[in-house]
Amino acid sequence: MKRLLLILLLATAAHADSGLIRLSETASPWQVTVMTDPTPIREGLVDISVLIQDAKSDAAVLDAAVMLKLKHAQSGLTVSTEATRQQAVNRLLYAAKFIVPAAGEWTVETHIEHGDDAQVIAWSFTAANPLPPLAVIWPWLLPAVLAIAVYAANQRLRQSRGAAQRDQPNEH
Amino acid sequence: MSDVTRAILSSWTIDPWPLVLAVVSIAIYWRGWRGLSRTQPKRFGRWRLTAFIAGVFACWVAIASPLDAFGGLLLQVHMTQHVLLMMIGPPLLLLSYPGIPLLRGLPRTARREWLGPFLAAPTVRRWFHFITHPIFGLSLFIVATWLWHVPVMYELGLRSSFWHEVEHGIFLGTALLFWWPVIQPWPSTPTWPRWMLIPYLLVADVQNTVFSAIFVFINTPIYGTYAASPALFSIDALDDQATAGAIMWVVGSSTFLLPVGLIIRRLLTPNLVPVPTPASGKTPVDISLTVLGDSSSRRPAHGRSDLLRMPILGPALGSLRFRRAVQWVMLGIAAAIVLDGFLGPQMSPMNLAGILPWTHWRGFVVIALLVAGNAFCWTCPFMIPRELGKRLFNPTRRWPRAIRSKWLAASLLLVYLWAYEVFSLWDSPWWTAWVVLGYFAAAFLVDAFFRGAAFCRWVCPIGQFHFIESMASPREVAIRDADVCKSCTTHDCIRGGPGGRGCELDLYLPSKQGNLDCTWCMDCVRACPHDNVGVLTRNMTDDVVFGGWRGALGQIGSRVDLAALATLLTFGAFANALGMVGPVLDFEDGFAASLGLASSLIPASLVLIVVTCLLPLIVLPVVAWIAMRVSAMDIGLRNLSCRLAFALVPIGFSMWVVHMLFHFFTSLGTIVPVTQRVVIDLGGNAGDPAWILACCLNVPDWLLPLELLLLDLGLVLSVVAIHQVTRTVTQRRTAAAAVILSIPAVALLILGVWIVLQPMQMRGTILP
Ligand code: SF4
Ligand code: SF4
Repeated sequence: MKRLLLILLLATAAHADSGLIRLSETASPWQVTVMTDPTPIREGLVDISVLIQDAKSDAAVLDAAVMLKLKHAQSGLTVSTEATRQQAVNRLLYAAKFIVPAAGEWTVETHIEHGDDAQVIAWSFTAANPLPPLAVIWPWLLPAVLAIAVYAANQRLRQSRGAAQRDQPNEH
Repeated sequence: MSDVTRAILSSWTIDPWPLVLAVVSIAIYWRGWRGLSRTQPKRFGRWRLTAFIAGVFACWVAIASPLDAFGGLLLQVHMTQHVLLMMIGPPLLLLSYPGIPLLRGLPRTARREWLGPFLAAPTVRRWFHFITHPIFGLSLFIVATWLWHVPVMYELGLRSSFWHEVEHGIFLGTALLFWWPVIQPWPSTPTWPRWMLIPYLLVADVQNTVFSAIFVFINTPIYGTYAASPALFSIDALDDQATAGAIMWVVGSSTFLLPVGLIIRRLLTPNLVPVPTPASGKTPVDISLTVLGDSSSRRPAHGRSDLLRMPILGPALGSLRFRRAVQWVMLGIAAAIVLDGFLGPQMSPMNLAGILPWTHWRGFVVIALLVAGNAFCWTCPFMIPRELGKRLFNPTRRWPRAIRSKWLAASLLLVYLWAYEVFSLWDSPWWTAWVVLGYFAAAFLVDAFFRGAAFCRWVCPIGQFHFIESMASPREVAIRDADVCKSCTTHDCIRGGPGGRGCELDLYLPSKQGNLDCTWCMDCVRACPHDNVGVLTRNMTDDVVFGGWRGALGQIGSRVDLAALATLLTFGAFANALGMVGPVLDFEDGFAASLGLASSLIPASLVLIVVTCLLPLIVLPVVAWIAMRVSAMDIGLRNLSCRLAFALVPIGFSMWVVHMLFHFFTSLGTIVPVTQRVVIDLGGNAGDPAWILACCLNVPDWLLPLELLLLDLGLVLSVVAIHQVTRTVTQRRTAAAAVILSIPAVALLILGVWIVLQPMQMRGTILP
């Protein structure tokens, strides 16, 4: 049996960018703010977004290159991904959506380059174990349960209305 | 425009679900409003429609526009979002008098059969009276406003998109209840005298003033998130907070005090507009069937929407010339598939034969079945060799009586499912080309020998798929008015006449029910001299529930061959999907290795046979037997099993749709580079093939929710169908019997959910 790339659709469950502010610090010549979603971060899809502002004027820097390099403390596993404005909903931010492949401690180096300036900002996070699939998908199964419940109620009401009509004395 | 402004203006959160909800609700309102604006032009002027659209738009802007993208960084933006959801959107929605137009805009069956019993139920009316009472609305509005702005709750909304959506939903819901007595949308009647709304609105304004003043005057940031936020646009956290309070204050007070002024003016000039008086009874709203225009219980003959009456689409669908033109185009595509399959690269995602039939065509087929019906038999290119065979040989033989059943087609279908899985047909352009060629040859030969549509009716596995799955489609080819058929003397729809040939599938329109065996060829439409055939809407469960007489199809509820075909397709949907998920592939590989086999042909065959044949053969009769024991039924075990097989068609169909759409949406772009490659191979210039489109696109994040919702739909339709079947065969313990009979449907849903949660093969794409 020929094997092809396998993808896990569950890992694509959507997250918005921004989210929890992880750090906001001055890294001359910028003020850099890093946000993550979801909270808490779990093994699976995460969104890391970075806001780069001119430290003096607060003006957003929109043409930097931002690279995220992650390392898993326990296994040494590394993940590199580029954060871009195209991936962000908030187009002032640089966002990267990617799969965190394992729970545990992760250190992140945020590499920023703009013109002649470059900075590396280090930070870390702990990724929790992924939620059980049902905890993620239940809102999408709820409509079936509700629809069947509404159908059952509808049938009951019809039945009782039918019975009431049958019980009414015939006036003619 | 500066780069920053451009960036801000392009920060839209285009989540498909709210957008779909907004568009659908506007479409439903518009449909209902159109009729009402003709019968009650004063009450339903154009501005009501405008108010509804504006209300929906305000709510959508709140959650989709840059307001949402920036709400997490600036409190004032977040507060503007809340203002739209609480003070702007809801009053506009209520000003449109949404209840009746929305109800009238729904399909008649949904209105009468689904919602009717609820609208008429005293309990529901009492509940509605309770929740629209001013005291309830005001209290809830105030509690929601304050509670969700307590730091713990507010931060919860900021950190979790789920709770953020709950928060917004609660704001919108409570605001609708709060504004209800103020606007008192027709046909509701007020609970309080009008003057009482003055203190009502003033109380709301006072609490809003206190609430806003806290934000304006407090000199520490209330929310940790905004305190830690970077000073976007040089706005510091305290300024941001004060501005947020000011927005709430100004907009809130304006929206609360404006109606106060209007009410006072009305009270002081009583002749201006008649003031509604409080209801004497307990129900403030009378959404009776009379108000809805549904007082007549007789369904009008032309009450169903008819695709053939639609502009452009209707004439196109009914035109034989247009159909032939489309079939020739499809034949050209089939020829390209065959040629590329034989001559092109043998890597399936690079070959027309590897993508068009398996990814694109199947995707379009299931979409057409889901939104309309068997539209793809209408475009079928195999019709051309069939017609050729008929012209050349003018056959008069009838299909042999001994095989005048679906057993042959069901066997061919099983062989096809098996070959697809074990020989990975989808991954072999060469084999695909042979399959297409073989199909053309079979269509030609069968119809050259036998009269009528013998190939479609008794042989074609693809046609059987369309026939069975279109049982759950929302449209059917059917007569428009039974009375016209009663007085018809020619019956050209079956015999043929000046308008063209009659039904080749022997379906006599007055006794035709549903889509089984109907190729949507429209011959009957053209043949009928009374223009009495349409492509009409119907309940998606009608076809699978009706087990009675269907003309040439006979007593369908007792046709084991048809039930077997339906079962094969229902369980085959799951077997086919199981063949592409990681754990099953691992199991098959492991099983093959443990037997020392070089390929997983035997394990894959076993999985298919067990799931498509053995499992239903055991489960359906057992479940039917238990249900018969629980409730004394007026039906035999065989017939009940057959009826159950048909009732399970929707859940099987939903699995096919899920599976096909997964490949369709993950591999849609492949057609671009493959077409470029073909053009280049033919010596043309189409630029460098954009192979990036065939390998590396992100899987859309709405795909999983869509798949789950489709499975939901399948389950609900199957359960409803099972209940309706149960009602027709027993009067005792109907609910218990229906629950037992629904077990296979629920089990299939669970299996379907498990499948979509597994790692899946990305067929039709190139490995990055
Ligand atoms: S020809 Fe038309 S009117 Fe006559 S039976 Fe057929 S569908 Fe009815
Ligand atoms: S002629 Fe027969 S197969 Fe064709 S659309 Fe009419 S009923 Fe269906």
